[in-house]
Amino acid sequence: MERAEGGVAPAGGWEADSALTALYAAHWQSLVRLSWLFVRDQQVAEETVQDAFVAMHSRWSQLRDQDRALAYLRRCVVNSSRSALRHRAVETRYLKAETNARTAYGTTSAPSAEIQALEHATGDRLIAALGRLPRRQQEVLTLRYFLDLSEAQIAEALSISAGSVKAHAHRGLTSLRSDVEGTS
Amino acid sequence: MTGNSTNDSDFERQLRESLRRDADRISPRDKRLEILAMVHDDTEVAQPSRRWFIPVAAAASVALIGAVAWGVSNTGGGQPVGQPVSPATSSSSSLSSSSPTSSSSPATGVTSQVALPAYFVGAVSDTGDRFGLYREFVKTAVPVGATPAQKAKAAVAVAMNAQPFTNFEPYVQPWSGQSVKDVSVTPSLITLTLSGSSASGFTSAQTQLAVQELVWTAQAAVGQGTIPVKFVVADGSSTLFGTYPTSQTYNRPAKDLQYQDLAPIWITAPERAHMYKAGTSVVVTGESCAFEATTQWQLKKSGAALKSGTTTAASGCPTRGTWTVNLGALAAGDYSFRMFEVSMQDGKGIVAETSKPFTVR
Repeated sequence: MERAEGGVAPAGGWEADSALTALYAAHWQSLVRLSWLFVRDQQVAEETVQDAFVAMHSRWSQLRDQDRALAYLRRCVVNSSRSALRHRAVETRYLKAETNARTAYGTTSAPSAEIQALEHATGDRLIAALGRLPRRQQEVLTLRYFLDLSEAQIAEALSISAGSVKAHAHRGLTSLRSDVEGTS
Repeated sequence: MTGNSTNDSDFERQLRESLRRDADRISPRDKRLEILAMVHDDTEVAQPSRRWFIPVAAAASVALIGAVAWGVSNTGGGQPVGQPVSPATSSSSSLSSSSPTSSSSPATGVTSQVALPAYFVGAVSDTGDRFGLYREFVKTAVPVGATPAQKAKAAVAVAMNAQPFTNFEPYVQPWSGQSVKDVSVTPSLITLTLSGSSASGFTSAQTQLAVQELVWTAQAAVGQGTIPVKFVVADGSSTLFGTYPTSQTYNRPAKDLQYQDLAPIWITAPERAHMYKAGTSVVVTGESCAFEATTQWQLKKSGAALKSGTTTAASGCPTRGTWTVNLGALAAGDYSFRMFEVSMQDGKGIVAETSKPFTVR
């Protein structure tokens, strides 16, 4: 039964576990929803955020701070969601989901009467218009209006400058308003 | 721009509300246990190809569930599942020190509930002639700031006490009546001191796995990879089960040989007796080491099969692969999900199987 050693590097230990648990309790739901707003696939969104937490745990020795770890999680989620969208399988599933009356993974039942009514509401037109914006503008507006992030936090999550955030937000809002008003 | 909603225009408020309502259409499932498994254990499992984006990190230890204070002593072997184990002990030592950390350091009195992984020896099919290791995450109390040695002691104590699981899992109890007395950890050796050298009446396959279950458990709790494990028996025995010498060290098999230890099929989610809200999708996940990665499943209600199917894991034996089965939304009731591998020799015999009960309300 003597076995060869394999070995895995330490990943941060107890402090990393505590941070992971605290951040999971506080942010798991909102981060999955954030990813879902981008990828429209619940399974992919959950796996994206799950992997982000695992990556955060393994990098805890560099992060060493829950605020920095949260910023890292957001960056992972946004980047991985963007990568996921590029993936053919996800795109296929997304198109299929759209065709099948907005059935996200995990919500496979037919849309309720309330949801069908909402199809015609302004909110859905806004969401549809948001989906037509350039990717970066979508990300900036979603981080700003869904997660309530500041300009600096968005800049950190997207690894761009604060000036770029401001520009993307302005252009995105202008396009969005124009799109919605043009279709109403 | 501040992210503050007080200065929003009507249009911005509409956008904010639309995003919130849109995001509320999903109910994220609890993945805490899966994340725990990924960061906690270094079992390398092939993932489905869709997991292309973030490299999976491995190896660490467990998660805090919430600080609570307990005053219960732990000698292993006797605590029911879910009850606090491990006395409130702590040590300021760390693994970076050349001196070993011990599980019998001075007490602080404050403990936290954590989910510790523990491995158990169980039958891999109803025939009961072959056995493998199954992993359970068991909520256990350990001291706040516990050392790896303290976590390992608590986890090994859980692993040595299979009795609470035997009503619903095919686990055997090769460590019945024995307990873990002490655990020490250095960067190159984990030493487990046991009260005795074990029970009798088990087959050699079972006793070999019994030794390995403590190896897997201790290494997972320590979270520093495959540090060799050495046993010391407090009664002076020089062997475990009269066969395995305490003079040597023990370790997990190499990655491509882990099928020698691990049961061929695990269901990792849902947890046993998990309750789903009616209307939400039930997604079952697990690991397998099966011929051509193929296993079959059944969804049972009141003993009758409601649904069945075949699934393909991300990898076939000898590499363990993960699999996922989406059962969709189910009507309220008590269910059991069974995953099994059919013999390729006769197409009938069951090579391996495992089941997990859950409820929809």
